[in-house]
Amino acid sequence: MSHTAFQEKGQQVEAEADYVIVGSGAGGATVAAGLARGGASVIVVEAGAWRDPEHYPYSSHGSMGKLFDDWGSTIAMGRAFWPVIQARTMGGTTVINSAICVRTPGDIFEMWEKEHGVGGMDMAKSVWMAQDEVERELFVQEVPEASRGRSNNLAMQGAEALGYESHVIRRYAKGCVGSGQCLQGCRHGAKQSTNLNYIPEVRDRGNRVFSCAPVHKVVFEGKRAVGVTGWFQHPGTKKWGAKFTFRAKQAVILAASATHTPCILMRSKVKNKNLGRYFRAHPGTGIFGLYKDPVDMNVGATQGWASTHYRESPGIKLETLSIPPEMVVTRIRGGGKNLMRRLSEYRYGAMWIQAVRANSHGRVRNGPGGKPFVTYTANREDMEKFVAGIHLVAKTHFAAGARAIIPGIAGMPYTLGPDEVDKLLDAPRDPRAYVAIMSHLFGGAVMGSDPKSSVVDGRGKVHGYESLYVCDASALPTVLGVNPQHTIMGIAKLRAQQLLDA
Amino acid sequence: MLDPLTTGTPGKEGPLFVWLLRTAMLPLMPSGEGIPGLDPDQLDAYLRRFRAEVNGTTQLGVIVAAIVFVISPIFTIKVPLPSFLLSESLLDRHADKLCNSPLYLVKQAIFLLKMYAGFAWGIQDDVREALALPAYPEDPEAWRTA
Ligand SMILES: Cc1cc2nc3c(=O)[nH]c(=O)nc-3n(C[C@H](O)[C@H](O)[C@H](O)COP(=O)(O)OP(=O)(O)OC[C@H]3O[C@@H](n4cnc5c(N)ncnc54)[C@H](O)[C@@H]3O)c2cc1C
Ligand code: SF4
Repeated sequence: MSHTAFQEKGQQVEAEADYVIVGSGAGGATVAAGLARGGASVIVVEAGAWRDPEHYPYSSHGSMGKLFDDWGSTIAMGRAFWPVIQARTMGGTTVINSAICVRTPGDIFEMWEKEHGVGGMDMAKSVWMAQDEVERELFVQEVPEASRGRSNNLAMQGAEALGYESHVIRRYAKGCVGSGQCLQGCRHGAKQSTNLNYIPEVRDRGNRVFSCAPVHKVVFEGKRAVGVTGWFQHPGTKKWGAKFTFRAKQAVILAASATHTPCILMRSKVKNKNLGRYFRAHPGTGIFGLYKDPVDMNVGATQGWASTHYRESPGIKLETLSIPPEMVVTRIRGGGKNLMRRLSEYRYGAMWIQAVRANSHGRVRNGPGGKPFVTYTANREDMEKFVAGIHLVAKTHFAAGARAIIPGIAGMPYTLGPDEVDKLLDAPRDPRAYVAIMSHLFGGAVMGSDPKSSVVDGRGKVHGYESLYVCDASALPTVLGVNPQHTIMGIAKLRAQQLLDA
Repeated sequence: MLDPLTTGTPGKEGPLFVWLLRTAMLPLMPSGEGIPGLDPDQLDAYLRRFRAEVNGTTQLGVIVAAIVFVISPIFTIKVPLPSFLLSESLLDRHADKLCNSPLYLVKQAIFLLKMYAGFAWGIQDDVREALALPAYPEDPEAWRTA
C-alpha cells in the first residue's frame, strides 16, 4: 500500500492491521517482513524519517543529527558517563552500524536455558536456520580483498604474528567499495540496512509503513494490547504533528530498541518490576597504533577484521574500526598546538577496538520528554577484562609494526612504545579513566520463564498481558560476546513464524 | 522567527552565542602545526548551523563548557584573566591544561566542546585535503515524504 511520513496537526491518522510493529530496525523490520510474507497484514511505525542512501549525510555532524537518536546524547550515568549510541531512522541502527554478521554462539542458548528457563538447543536450531535465511537475503559476505584497506590488513598481520585466531569480517554488504563511511550510512547502497530491503518489501506486499511517528504508548482493552498511539514529529524542526492511532487485530510488537522499548512499556503503565532492569552492553574503547607509513584508515571497510578468540576468557572481542578525523579529535589528548601536532599524525594512525562481554547491568527509566534515562557502571570484574582487552589490542598493534600506541587512558602517558606495552596491565580500573562507548545494547525487557525475574516469556510475549510482544535487543537476557544484529534478526524471524503458526 | 543569539553579522561584533563558542573553540584547534586549524569564518557558519539544529541539552552542555573555558585561566595557568584577554602563548597553555584537567566533570564538559569543535574542523575542505580525504559535499536535507 503506502508509506506515510510527517502529517501536520489538525487531523487524526488511523489505520488497522493484524500486527502493529513499533520500530523498523534489526528486530522490527525482520519480524514485519516475516509476518507479511506469511500473509498477515502489518503496520510498521517508525519514530525517525525514511532516508535513502542519497539522503544520507556526509559529515559526522550530519549523521549525528539526521540518523542518530537524539544527537547521540543518551549517556549511561554511573561512575563514568559513557554514551549509549543508537539510531532513530527508518532501518534503525542497521543504518549506522558496520553490518558485521556473527551467528549466535551455541553456549548462549545453553546459558539462557540454564539461567532463564528459555532458549536451549531447540531454539538454537531454529535461530540458526533463520540466520541462514537472513544471510542469503542480505547478501552476507566477507569484506572483499580490494576493499579491506591497510588498517584491516595490518590487524590481520598482527594477530597472525601473535598466533591467535582472527578473521576477515563477514557483513551484510553487497559490493562494499571500502569507503569507510558505514557510521554515516552507506551512500553506495552496499550495506544492507533494513530500510533498503525488509521495509520496502513489507510496503510492496500491500502493508502500511509510517515514518516520523514516535509511539507514545500502547493502548489496552483490559490486559489485551489493541494498538498504539502517538504524534507525528517533523524530522527537521522537531515540531509535533497529527495524532495517530493504529489498531492491531492480532498483536502489538515492540521493537524500538533496548532503551526505547522499556520506556514505551513504562509509559503504557505495564506492571512488571523487572521493566528497565538488566540493561547490559558490550562497552568498548579504541586504541590507536601509530605506524611509520600512512595507514589512511578511512580507506577500506569501516570494520574489516575481528577476533573472537578471547570471547570466553577473558571475555572480549577485538575489531578494527575506522573513524573520520572529526571523530578522532575527542580521542586525542590535549588542546591547542599540542592537539594539532597530534592530529597531524592522523594518516599514520589505525584505530582498533576491544568490546567487553560485560556482566555488569544497569537500568533504563523513562526520563523527561520520553527520553531514556540510563544508569550503568562497569564493575571491577568487567574493568579487568577492559584492561586485558586494551593490552591485547596494543600488543597486536606492535606485532603489526606500530612504532607507538595511543592508549587514551587518563593517568597514563599519551603514547607508549613497544617496550612499554606491559605498563597497560597496571592501567586504572576506574571507568572514569576511559573514553568508552556502548553500542551493543541488551535487556531492559528481558526474556525468561519466571515472571518474577523477567518481562517477556520464551516467545517474546509480555508476562501478564495478551497480544503484546517484544522483539528486539531489549528481550535478550544476557550479552552475547559477539555482535548482536544477527541474533536479533534470527530471533525476530523465529517470532514471526511462531505468531503465524499460533 | 529570528534567533536573537545568532542573527547578526559574523565577526568580532557577532552575536553572543557565536562569540562565546568561537572564543572557546578557536584556541582549541589553532593552525600552524602541520595541519590546518579551525577557520574562523567557517566556524561562524558552523555555529549557526549548530544553533539551528543541535538538541537543547547538547547546546546547553557546550555553552557551559565554553563558559568554563573562558573563566578558568585562574585555575589552569594561575592568571586572573578571562581566556580572551590572554596572550597567544598563555592561551595555548590554558587550552592544553584545561583539556588535561584531572576533574572528571570538567573533562566531560571539555570533551563536548572538543567534539563540536572537531565537527566544525572536520568539514573544512583544507583539513580533508591535508589528510588525503575527498571534500565533504553539503549534507542533503531530504528524506522520503511519501
Ligand atoms: C555504531 C554502531 C555500530 C554497530 N555495529 C554493529 C555490527 O557491525 N554488527 C552488529 O551485529 N551489531 C552492530 N551494532 C548493534 C546493532 O546495530 C543493534 O544491536 C541492533 O540494530 C539493535 O536492534 P533493535 O531492533 O533492538 O534496535 P534498532 O535497530 O536500534 O531499532 C529500533 C528502532 O526503533 C525506533 N524507535 C525508537 N523509539 C520509538 C518509538 N517510540 N516509536 C517508534 N519507533 C521507535 C528507532 O528509531 C529505531 O529505528 C552496532 C551499533 C552501533 C550503534
Ligand atoms: S565501507 Fe563504505 S561502501 Fe562499504 S559498506 Fe561501509 S559505507 Fe558502504
